[in-house]
Amino acid sequence: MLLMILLTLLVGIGFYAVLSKTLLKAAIGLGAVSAALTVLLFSMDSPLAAVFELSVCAGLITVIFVSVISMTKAAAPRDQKEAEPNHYLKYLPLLATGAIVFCAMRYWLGDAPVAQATVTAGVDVRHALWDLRGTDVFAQLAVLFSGVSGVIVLFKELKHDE
Amino acid sequence: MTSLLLILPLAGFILANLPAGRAFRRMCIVLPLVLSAVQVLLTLFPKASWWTAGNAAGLSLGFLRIDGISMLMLLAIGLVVFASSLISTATVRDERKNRSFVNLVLLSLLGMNGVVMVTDIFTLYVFLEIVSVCSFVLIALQREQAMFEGAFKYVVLSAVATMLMLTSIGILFLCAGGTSFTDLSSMIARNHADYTVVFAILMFIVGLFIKGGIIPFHGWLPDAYSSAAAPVSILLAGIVTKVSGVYTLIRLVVEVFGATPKTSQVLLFMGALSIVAGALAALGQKDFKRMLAYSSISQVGYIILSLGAGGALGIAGAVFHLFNHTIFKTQLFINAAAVEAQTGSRDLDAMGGLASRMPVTGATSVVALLSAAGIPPLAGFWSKLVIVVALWKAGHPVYLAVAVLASLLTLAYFLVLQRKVFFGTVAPGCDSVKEAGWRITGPSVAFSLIIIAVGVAVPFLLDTILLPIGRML
Repeated sequence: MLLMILLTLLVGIGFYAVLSKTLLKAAIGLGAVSAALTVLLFSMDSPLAAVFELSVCAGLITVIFVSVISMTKAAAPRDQKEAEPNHYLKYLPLLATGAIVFCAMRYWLGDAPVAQATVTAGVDVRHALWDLRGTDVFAQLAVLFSGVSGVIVLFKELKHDE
Repeated sequence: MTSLLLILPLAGFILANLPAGRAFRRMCIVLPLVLSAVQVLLTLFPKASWWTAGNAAGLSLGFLRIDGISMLMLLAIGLVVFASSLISTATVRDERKNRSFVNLVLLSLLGMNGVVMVTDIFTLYVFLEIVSVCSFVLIALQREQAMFEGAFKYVVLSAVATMLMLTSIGILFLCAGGTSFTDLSSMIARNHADYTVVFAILMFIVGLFIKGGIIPFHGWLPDAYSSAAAPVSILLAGIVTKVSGVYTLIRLVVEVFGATPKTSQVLLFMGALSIVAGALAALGQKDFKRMLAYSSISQVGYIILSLGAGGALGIAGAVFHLFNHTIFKTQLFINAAAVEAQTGSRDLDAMGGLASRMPVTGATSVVALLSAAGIPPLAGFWSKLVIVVALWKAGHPVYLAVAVLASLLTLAYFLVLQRKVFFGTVAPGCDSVKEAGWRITGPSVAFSLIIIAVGVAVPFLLDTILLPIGRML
C-alpha cells in the first residue's frame, strides 16, 4: 500500500515538474520527485541507492538549478501575458490511460511472474564499483564530461555572444 | 589492448582541454583525426597480436570483447569519424565551435567504440547514453533555431527510448540476477514464453527502433539530420544511428534475445514498412539532406528485414548492408556538405547542372546513389542480393517482392536528386560555383573507392568475413 501511495505521488509530482511554466517551480518539482524516490528506495530496502538519490539528485542538482535560475531574469510582462495558463485537466485522459495500462500490466504480468534471482546480496560497494562495474564507472566519467561539454557549448557561448 | 580504444579518446578529451596556449589548443584539432586513423589502421589487421596484448595481465576493462562484427563496426566508426573531423576543419570556421566539436567527437568515438565492444546490457546502456548526450549537443552546436528544434525532438524521443530500455534492463536484471549477455540469454532461453520477459524484450526493441529511426518511431530523424551542421550530419547519418540503433538491435536480437518466429515477424514487418514509407517520403522532399534522411530510414529497413529473415545468410546480409549503408550514406552526406558549402543552399529546386561546376562531387554522387539503389557491381548490389537470397531461403516471397520493388523507388528518388542537383543546365545563381576543397572532396573520393573495392572484392569478403560473422552470431 505504501509503495502504491509513493508511486502515485512520484507520478503526480513528476507531472507537475514537467508541466510547470516556471523554471523555478519545475526545478523544485524535480527535487520533490527525487525526494519521493528516495523514500521509495528506502522502503524497498536499498539504502545506498536512496542516499545517492537524496544527496546528488534531491540535494546537489536542485541547489545548482535554483542557483542558476536565480541568475536569470524573469520574462518580460508581455511574454508572461502571452503565455497560456496551465490546464491540468486536459492531461487527465493521459493519466487515466496510464492507470489502465498499469492495472492491465499488473493483471497480466503479476508481481513476481518468474523466479527472481538474489540481486540484493550484500557486496561491498567498493568491490562492486571498482572490481565488478569498473567499465561503468569509466563510462560514467565520459557521460559527465559530455554533460559538461554540453553546458559549455549551449550556455557559456550564449553569455559570450550577449 | 581493446581498452585503449576507450581510454585514448578520453585521454584525448582531457589533453584537448588542458589550460595550455592557443597554439597547443589549435593542434588538438587533429586529435580525432589521428585517433580515428589509428583505429582504421588497427582494424585492417584483425588477427594482429596487439588486440590481445595486456589482456592476460588483467590490464583490460571488464565486459569488453572484440569479434568479427565488432571489428567491422570499429572500422566503420573510424572511417566516418575521420571523414567528419576532416570536413569540420573546412566547414566549422569558428575556433571555439571547432574545439567543442573536437571534444564531443572524441567522447562520441569513445561511446560508439564502447557500444560495439561491450558484453553487458547495462554497460551497453551507459555507452549509448554517452553517444546520445554528445549527439544532442552536436546537433545544436551552431545554435540556430532549426538546430535547437532538431536537437529537442531528438532529446524528447531519446528520453522515451531511454525510459523503455532502462525499465527493460531492470526487469531482465530482476529475472536473471545479472546483466551480462550470457546471463540474460540463458535466462531468456529458459523463460521465453513468460509475459514479463517478452514485455521487457519488446520494450528494449522499441527503444532501439526509436534510436535507429525506424518507422513509425522516426519523428526525430529528418529534423536532426537536416538541421545539424554538415560534419554533424555526416557523423549522425553515417554512424551514430547505425551503432546506437541498428548494430545494437542486431547484436541483442541474435546473441541475447534470440531470433524467435514472433521476433522475426515483427522485424520483417517493421523492416518492410520502413523501406516503403521511407522511400515514398524521400520522393517528395525538396531539401537535399531531408531526402537523404528519409532514404536512410528506407535503407535501415533493409537491414531490419534481413535480420528478420534470420539464419547465417540473413545476419550476414544485415551486417553487410549495415556496413555498405554506412559508407554510401556518409558519402552522400559529404556531397550534400560540398553542395551546401559551395551554393549556400539545400533546396533541390534552386540547383541544377552542378556536375559541370563540381565534377568530383557529381561523379562520386553517382557512385554512391547507384550503390544505394543496388546497381551491380557496386557494394550495395551485393548486400541487397544477399538480403533477397536470405528472404527467399527463409520462405518470405512477399517481403522479397517488397525489397526488390522498393529498390526501384530508391533508384527513382536518387535519379530525381541527381537530375535536380547535378544534371541539366546550370541553374541561375550557380554560374560561379566551384568544386569544394580537398578536405571535402578527398573523403568523398575515398568513400567512392571503398564502394567500388567492396563491390569488386565481394566473393572474397563473403567467404572470409561476412558468412563467418553470420554463423558466429
